[in-house]
Amino acid sequence: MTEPEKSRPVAEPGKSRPVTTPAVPALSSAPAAAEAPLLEVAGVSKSFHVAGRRRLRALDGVDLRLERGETLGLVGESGCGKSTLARVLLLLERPDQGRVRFEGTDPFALRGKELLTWRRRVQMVFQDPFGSLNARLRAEDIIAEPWRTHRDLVPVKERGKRVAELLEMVGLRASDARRYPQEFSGGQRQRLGIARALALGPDVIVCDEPVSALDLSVQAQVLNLLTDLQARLGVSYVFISHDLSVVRHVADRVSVMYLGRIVETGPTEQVFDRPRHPYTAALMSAAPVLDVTPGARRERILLKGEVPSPLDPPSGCRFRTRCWRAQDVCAQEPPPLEPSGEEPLHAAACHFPLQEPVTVS
Amino acid sequence: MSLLELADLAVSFPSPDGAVHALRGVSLTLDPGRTLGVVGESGSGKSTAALAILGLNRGARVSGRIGFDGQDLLSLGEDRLREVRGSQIGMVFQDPLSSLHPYYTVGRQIAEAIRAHEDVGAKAARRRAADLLRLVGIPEPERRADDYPHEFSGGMRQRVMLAMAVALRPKLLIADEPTTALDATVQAQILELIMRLQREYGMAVLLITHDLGVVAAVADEVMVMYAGRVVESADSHTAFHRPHHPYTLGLLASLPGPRGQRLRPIPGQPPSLLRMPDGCPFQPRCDYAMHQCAATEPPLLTVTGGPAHRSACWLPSGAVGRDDGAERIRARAIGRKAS
Repeated sequence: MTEPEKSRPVAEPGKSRPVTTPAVPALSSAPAAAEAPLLEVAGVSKSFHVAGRRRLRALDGVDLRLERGETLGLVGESGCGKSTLARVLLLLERPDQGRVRFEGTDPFALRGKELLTWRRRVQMVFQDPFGSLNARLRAEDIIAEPWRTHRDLVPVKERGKRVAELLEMVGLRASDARRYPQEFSGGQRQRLGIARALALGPDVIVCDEPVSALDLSVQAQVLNLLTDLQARLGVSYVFISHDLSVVRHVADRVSVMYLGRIVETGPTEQVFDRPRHPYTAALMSAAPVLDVTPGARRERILLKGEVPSPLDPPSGCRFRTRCWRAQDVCAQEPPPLEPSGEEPLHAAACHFPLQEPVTVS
Repeated sequence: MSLLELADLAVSFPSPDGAVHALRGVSLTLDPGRTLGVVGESGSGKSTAALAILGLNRGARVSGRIGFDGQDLLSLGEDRLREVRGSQIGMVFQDPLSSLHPYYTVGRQIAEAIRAHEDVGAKAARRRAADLLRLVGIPEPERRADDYPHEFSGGMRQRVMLAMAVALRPKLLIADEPTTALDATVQAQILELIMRLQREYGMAVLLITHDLGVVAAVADEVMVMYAGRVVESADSHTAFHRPHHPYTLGLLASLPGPRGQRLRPIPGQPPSLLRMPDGCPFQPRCDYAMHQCAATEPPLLTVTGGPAHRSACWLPSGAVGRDDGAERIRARAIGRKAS
């Protein structure tokens, strides 16, 4: 049992606490790439060989764009390709086809030291705060470990100070440096995981279900922390979550995935309030909401059946086998991801997109 | 008469560091055909309560009364309890894969559950297993009955568990985080299925979950647990719109709202069940803590309007809701200026 966590408000940007410089100066001020988006993924496909000679198409022509200081929510159900996409962004998985550009540069074309430099710019926060921290390392060693690979980043004699800064930045105490992970609560461990991700001064943090293992009250603490860190450091998040209310809270834009494809993307409010793809509409209506006004229990769009196997996806539109609007053309032509007239940033991959918001009352 | 009636139920586990008080003085009633949602965070005691009803708390010290259908389950011997469990009380847990036996086909497992309680032939039991699989929406039930658990998806496995749970038409279904491991669209399907089975069989449902949205979607009544105690209970509309207990208020304020709106988390974390704070267990984290909160643990008392709304808090009974008026009452009570 750990001792109860004392309430320690995280410093808000621009408030009382002296502004700590980011533990590591961000590289992103490189002049060359002012116009290019921070991160751009275009037409990326990735297949895996499974069960002998069968091919599992985990990603099928995925487009993605991430700007500086922005949060992109990535939503979809098990097996839709979210995690594979995350691994591509982390440069852990080389796509079969398509283009990945980081400030206009193809990181997969880099080798050796250059590649290492790029790698540190995208870091990850994992779902499981228990499994993702080495139980035999002290907090200070967990945070400092990335510097053993990226040797030149922080001089050895400054590392203790940087660890203390990082701990305080995530709402832990400098004196926590000597403690082991199991001496922390779940929420504190997740803070530790965030500190480790920040240790390399990344431009992008891929957060894979970062709060789904936490209790509601602690989840809110960590979400506030992520918001504060973004305001303070200008870091971008790719935020993967199955919890739509969490995504709605943190994301500037949302991309919805189904069976390896992006079916809808756009500013968060537009996607949530006026979903255009039937799958998005069904997903939104399935999420339980806290509206218990008598008689206001919403009609859900209950989808028939289950997600087809990614080993044998349907032809044309991959959602058509479960879609109530599907027609012949849906089986023949995969619909392109296209913006709508009134909302140029809001695109859906559907031959018969929803025009009106689906009334779910 | 209530189907289920817990009175002053306490469960503790011995540990090398002293007794762990997992449940203290829990009372509740549940009528046939109704759904009671039990919410709370890890360690609040919600699963312990479910396991206590089922008599599945190994090594625990249990006291109080568990009235079910006119008998006290705590006074029953293991054999009698086994008869009740499974036939009159069905259960579904979070992880269907660890609740199903990997070596046997699902049809065989459902048939076995039926034959453990009823005198029916193997063939008839198998036919009933297939019928049950159809009832819970599994396509081609006759064929699928011969499949093994690993050949089903997570959602389908949970349907199998529900088929088994309702096989003997239980009066009570205990569902402990039944949809937590499932994707959103599958979760919606399973919740819908539970509600349909409840209507068809007239079962009472005890739904345990950490997800307030799930409770709001299906429960008639809500019970909020904290550190092994019931801190608030009410019908679900009252619980979510006019809560009295600061912990319930805190949970609602922790829910992610619109973008850019800052969340108000509850500071700190729940107390250790080994070392409970004096007085109210929530008092160290409470915004409204007063002198008496640290001195005496508040009993679960009726608050405004009807006996159905109860809260274990020393704040005035009129301080219900999340609006400014309620906030003023609370501020006055603790001698703080309303902001």
